[in-house]
Amino acid sequence: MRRQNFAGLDVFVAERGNALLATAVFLAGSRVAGEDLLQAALERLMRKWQRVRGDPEGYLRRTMYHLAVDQWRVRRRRPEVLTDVDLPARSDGTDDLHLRQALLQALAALPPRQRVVLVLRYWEELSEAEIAATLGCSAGTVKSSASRGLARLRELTAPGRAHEELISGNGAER
Amino acid sequence: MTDQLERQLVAGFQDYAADVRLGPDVLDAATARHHRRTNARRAVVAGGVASGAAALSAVLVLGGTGQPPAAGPPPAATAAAQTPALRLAAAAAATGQTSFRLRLTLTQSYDTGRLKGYRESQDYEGAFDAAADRGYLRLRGTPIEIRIIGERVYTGRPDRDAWRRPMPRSELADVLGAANPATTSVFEQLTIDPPAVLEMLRHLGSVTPAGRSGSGSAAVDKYTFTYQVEADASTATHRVTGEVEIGVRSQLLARISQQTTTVGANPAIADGQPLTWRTVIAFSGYGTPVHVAKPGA
Repeated sequence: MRRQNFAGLDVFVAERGNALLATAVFLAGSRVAGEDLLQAALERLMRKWQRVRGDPEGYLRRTMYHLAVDQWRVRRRRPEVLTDVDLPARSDGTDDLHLRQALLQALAALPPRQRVVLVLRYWEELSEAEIAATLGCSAGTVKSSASRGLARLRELTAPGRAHEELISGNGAER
Repeated sequence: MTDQLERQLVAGFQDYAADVRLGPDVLDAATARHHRRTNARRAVVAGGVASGAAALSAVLVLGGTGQPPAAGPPPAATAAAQTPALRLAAAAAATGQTSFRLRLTLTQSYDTGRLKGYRESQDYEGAFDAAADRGYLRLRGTPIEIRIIGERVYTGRPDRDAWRRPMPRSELADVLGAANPATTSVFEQLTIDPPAVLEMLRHLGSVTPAGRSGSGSAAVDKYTFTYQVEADASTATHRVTGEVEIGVRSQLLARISQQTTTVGANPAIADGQPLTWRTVIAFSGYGTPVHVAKPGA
């Protein structure tokens, strides 16, 4: 069926799958949830495949953004803390490495909209206006979500509290 | 501090993304998910759950018709004189003119074949006041609530007073579909016109009285039906079986259950695994007050 009705999908996923999965993981908060998010978005892409073949990645990404924001509505699942992040050793020292790991863990603990806004702003490199247009909200909402998200990240990664709180789940949205 | 935090966040993204690898099973899983959805949709489009959807749509949509609530059960002689199909139609119409609680259970499962063991089920509980044309559905196990008020549908979390922008009633299917594609299928096939409901019930095929069970206010008359859905371009011929229960005293719908199993028209190409589709709609609490407020009001 895939070959017959979804010509080119295999190639698209093979070429862009890793990048899409990375975005999905950031949006969803864990590898498992990210794969699930990507699966859901791919399924929706299949529904529209004949119509969006010109820009499947754009459609897929927009779908993931919206599903990530709406995840509380979709199912009872909640993001898991990104404890499976395994960052490679870098030459710039362990402090930075630990901070980055803590930031990704803290990101997973944010409410969905704040997390999605930060991913769009700092990973997808969209402007606030572009994010507002993408998510269908005002630029003010984007600005406040980003501000609150960064503030929360700063709290959660403050020395002496971040890892324990996050891993125990106390910092995660319930 | 913020600048450094932002830089480190970007670096964290880049570090993680540099090593992440997509497994081959993600696309396979997405494809299987798509097959399940299309298979279920085809079952519905082909008529697999048409009667349940129609009956539910009748009670959800008939509100606002200006008709008064049912005054009470019809004379027994009248009910007895009706054919089973007409009795079903009358019960559906009467149910659509009162208020009630309802529970909707949708189950899809692969009972045989390579995907045997897969099962997915969703439960909605709610209430609807047809006269006031408003009601609600709650997805069990979640804080999600869907409020139907006239021509508007509101979806949100009452516990957080967080609501999405209202949608037109016509998009109720999409709202429910967010929780489950199969639910979308059910509601996309709404038969909202009472004469159409009647016509549909008349065409259920073979409707057979199946006796009475229960006692007192719980006594129901049962009817079974079965009909064949001919093959189309995507779905092989399949047979739908179901049962409708009508309250002996109330003469209102009490329960509708049905089941069908579908495979693709050409299983070697698509939807080769038989998907079994079960739908149960239970009605209760007729006449119960239904309090639904517009969010934010």
